[in-house]
Amino acid sequence: MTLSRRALLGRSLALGCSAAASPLVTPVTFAAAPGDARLVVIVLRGALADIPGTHTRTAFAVGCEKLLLLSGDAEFSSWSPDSALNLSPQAELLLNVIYESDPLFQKAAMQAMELSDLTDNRGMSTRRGARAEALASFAAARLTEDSRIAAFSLNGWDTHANQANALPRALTELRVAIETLKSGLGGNWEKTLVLGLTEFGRTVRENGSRGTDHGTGGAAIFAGGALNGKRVFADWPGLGKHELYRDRDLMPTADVRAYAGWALRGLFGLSASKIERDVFPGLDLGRDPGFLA
Amino acid sequence: MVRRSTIAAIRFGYGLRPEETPDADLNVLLDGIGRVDRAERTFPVAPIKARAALMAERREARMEARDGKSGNDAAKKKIDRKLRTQAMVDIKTVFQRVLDSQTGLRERLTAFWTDHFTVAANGPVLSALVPDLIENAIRPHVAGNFGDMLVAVSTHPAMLVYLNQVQSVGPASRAGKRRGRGLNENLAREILELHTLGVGGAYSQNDVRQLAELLTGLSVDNTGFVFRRAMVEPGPETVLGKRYGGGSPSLNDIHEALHDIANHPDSARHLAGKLITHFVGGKPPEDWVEKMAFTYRQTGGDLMALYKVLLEDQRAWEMPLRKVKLPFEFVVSALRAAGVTGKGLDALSPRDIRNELMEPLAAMGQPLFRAGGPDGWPEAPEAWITPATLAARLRWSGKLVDDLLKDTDPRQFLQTALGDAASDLLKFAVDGSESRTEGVALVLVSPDFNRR
Repeated sequence: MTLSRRALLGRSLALGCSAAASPLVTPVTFAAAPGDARLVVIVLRGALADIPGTHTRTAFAVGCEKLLLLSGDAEFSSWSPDSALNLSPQAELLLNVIYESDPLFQKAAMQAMELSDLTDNRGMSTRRGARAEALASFAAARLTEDSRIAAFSLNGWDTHANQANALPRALTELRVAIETLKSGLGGNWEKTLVLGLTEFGRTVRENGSRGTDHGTGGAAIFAGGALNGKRVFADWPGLGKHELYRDRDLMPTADVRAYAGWALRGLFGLSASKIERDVFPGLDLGRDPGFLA
Repeated sequence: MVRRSTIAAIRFGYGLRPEETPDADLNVLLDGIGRVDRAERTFPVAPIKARAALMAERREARMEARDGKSGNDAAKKKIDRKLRTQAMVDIKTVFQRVLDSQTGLRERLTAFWTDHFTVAANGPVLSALVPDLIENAIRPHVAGNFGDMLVAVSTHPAMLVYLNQVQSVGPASRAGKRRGRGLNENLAREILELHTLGVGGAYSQNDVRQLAELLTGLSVDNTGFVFRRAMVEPGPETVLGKRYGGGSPSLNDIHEALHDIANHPDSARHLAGKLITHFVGGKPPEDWVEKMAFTYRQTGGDLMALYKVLLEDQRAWEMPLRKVKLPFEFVVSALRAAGVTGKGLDALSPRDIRNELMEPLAAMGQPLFRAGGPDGWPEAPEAWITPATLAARLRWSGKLVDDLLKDTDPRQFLQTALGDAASDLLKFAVDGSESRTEGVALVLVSPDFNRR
């Protein structure tokens, strides 16, 4: 992996966490980086018996956004409720024939047909809060069935200008998403972890346009019933002049992937070596932060 | 063995059309890149003046609403609607041109550079500016010099607004001291990281900072681009080891630096690799990149010379087709195969354009001119064929067949759309389809047609 700016920032986020915690999953690479600044919310629930052979339908990326954290990951499928197909059996048969020689098309088509069967056809609104609510409730519904992992993105965190106005809107969306997940998951909330994290930190100082630019260290927010929460997990480096990274960014003091890694270990029993080798190649898991309830 | 002319149309153009034999001759192909063809003249882009007037009105309406003179922002909303309508008219022109284009490669390269210099048309103002960026900063240089294109784009209002350059003020400049404002590094960073040297390039955070200081003064007013001397950070700047400026504020210093950055060896390699990846796919072979980069440096950034080395290589013409057509390429090539012409879109209203073309494209993963960030659209085939986006290609294809191709003979359509590039498997499936519409739809959704 080339260490690009975007990749570096993805790899070396500092965590200054507020409330509760959660995970994310499976072969995740931070190499390619489409798009700027996203918050990724990832939901896991309960114990999955056979995570090494996780079936494709157990993992969903929800919504139309492309997720940096999921790029290159074969186990995720992306779907939104308005994607459904309405194919005749004969059409399905012929599609299977023509996609036979092209695995990329074959796999996507197979999943699309399966997903169409279990998707109800509610349209999705583009209004901000409504979109977060729709994504979260769709994810909660899948997680109530056989899915155990879901991921979706919320936009609006790239606050290059007028951060004081932009940030409250983004935070409201995150709140709506978490609350919707909680109510949608019902009793399963107790076995659920939600991890909200971003691939970018922000610069510590305000820029010339009342915003902040891409930085290195940042924050992540955890929630969920499976969390031992109400705590801040961080080695707070401070904001003093000599405490900043390159005199501009919050100093990274932890690798955000380690938290996801510990969540995988705690929730699904993945071995440390598997996490460090296959899930997040090159990661040093470090000490158990102990955030699971 | 697939004919070169077929590959030229599919890989280096927007696909085959009925009753048109594509040319495979390298010189004809190259000649076409520099030639303004009939399609461009038939479907001109509305001049910037009309938009500028609307944007000036919009600013005024906003001010009035803010000052409480008009009580609400109804006037601004009305202008926003006009700008959004204009944006759909502009997008119609984009479709009309590519549908009728005689040299697909000219249009494909225009799209390539538009993506290289992505300005996401977010909001009514940027939507109005992006067509002008393409027409007047990118298109004139597609067959010209890269450094010239870099200068034109980096001083275009669309880019200056999109990457926050208009908010960047030299902290020690007159304006900076008076208003307590400072630098915004966004444009400087993306010029180095995305537009020239590339992520692996030999530049540091300090170069970004220095370039940001050098770029201060690039701004916009009611008429378009303006160089504001009062915003220029005083003193010389050193970018990639060379000193610029230091005297009285001058746009020439910025032009000189941009040309030097464009001619950097890392820029040469970055652009060469990107062209190979975009058109041919996969990880670009080192020797091919070096050959192209060498020519680029020898000619001081002559793009025609660069394209020539790209196309002269045997690997540019090898099968299989490894790339997946971007949704826009897919939709355009499907319309071309269906015999739709530019004139055929004349009757479409702005609403039709949105419903029939833009929304389906967004569902396929490509909200046109609205990439998620300044790094543009991804190149990997896997990024474009997911359950949701493939489903969107299927749904749109089905609709196209219902609307326009109900009575088309599937075997004939297969020949029109793919020529000798159709696989035996697809021929077999088309032969086995139960109805005409099903057979035609199969062609459109096949990997054969969706790859290039």
